[in-house]
Amino acid sequence: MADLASATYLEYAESRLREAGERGERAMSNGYAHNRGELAKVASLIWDGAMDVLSALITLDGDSPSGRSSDLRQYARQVMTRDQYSLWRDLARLHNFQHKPNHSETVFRSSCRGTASLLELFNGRLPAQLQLPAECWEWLVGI
Amino acid sequence: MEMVRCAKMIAEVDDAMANAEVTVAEFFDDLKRQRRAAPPQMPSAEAMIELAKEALGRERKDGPALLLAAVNYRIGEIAPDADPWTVINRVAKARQHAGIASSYSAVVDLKAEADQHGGYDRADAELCYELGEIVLSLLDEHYG
Repeated sequence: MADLASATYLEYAESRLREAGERGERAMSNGYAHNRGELAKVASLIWDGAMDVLSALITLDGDSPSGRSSDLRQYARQVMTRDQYSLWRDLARLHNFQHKPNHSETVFRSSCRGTASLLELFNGRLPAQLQLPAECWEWLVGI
Repeated sequence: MEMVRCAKMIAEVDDAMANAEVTVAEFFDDLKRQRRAAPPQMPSAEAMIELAKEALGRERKDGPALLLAAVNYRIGEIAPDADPWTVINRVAKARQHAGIASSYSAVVDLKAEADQHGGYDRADAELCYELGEIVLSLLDEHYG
């Protein structure tokens, strides 16, 4: 049952992250400065995708995810080491970016890179049969 | 005598390894216990960050500045004449992990946000306080 619920979260995650990848690469190729509005939507998809992966992990642990970002962060605190958690801010920056897309291009790119590492970490905690393909986050490194 | 010294060294390495593997929640539980047992005295980065935590918790305007001052105080103790970013990047390179740089930048940005807008987001400040503590612990781990 938990596997089924997690698989559903992960289907959403994969779909959101793939869509974010397509839209993000297109927007960046047209120039960061002129596409902040679109990149804000991309950031929103990345955040939601990451929260889906965390919700899948919580479900697999036998708990019910609330979906509140503060609860998801608390979960991350319970399972991550300091080095891993120190990248949380990059994901949080993308969360803020969806509402206020005012970061510089350098900050945006560096937040994407940190978020890619976080997604890879979350994914590594999933059972092998549920893991997402690396294409879901690899594009964030090269964006 | 030599055996005792070796056993002590092994225990220290074990402690360090165990410390490196703890989760963030365990790290903060341990930190809280240590600070309760021996409250840090001024002037020290630990006492300053406790003041910053209180100020951020009360959404005081000077909270972000106190937080950055606490981290920079420790950096100043480590390398008095170095630019803080040089020290942070050195540790990031040695650890082969960008986390400390991302965390330090969060602390710097929180102050910039407060300076620019006269306020800050409470959840953001809570995260930045935690990241500030993590920066201090990673600096201590690297520089002993």
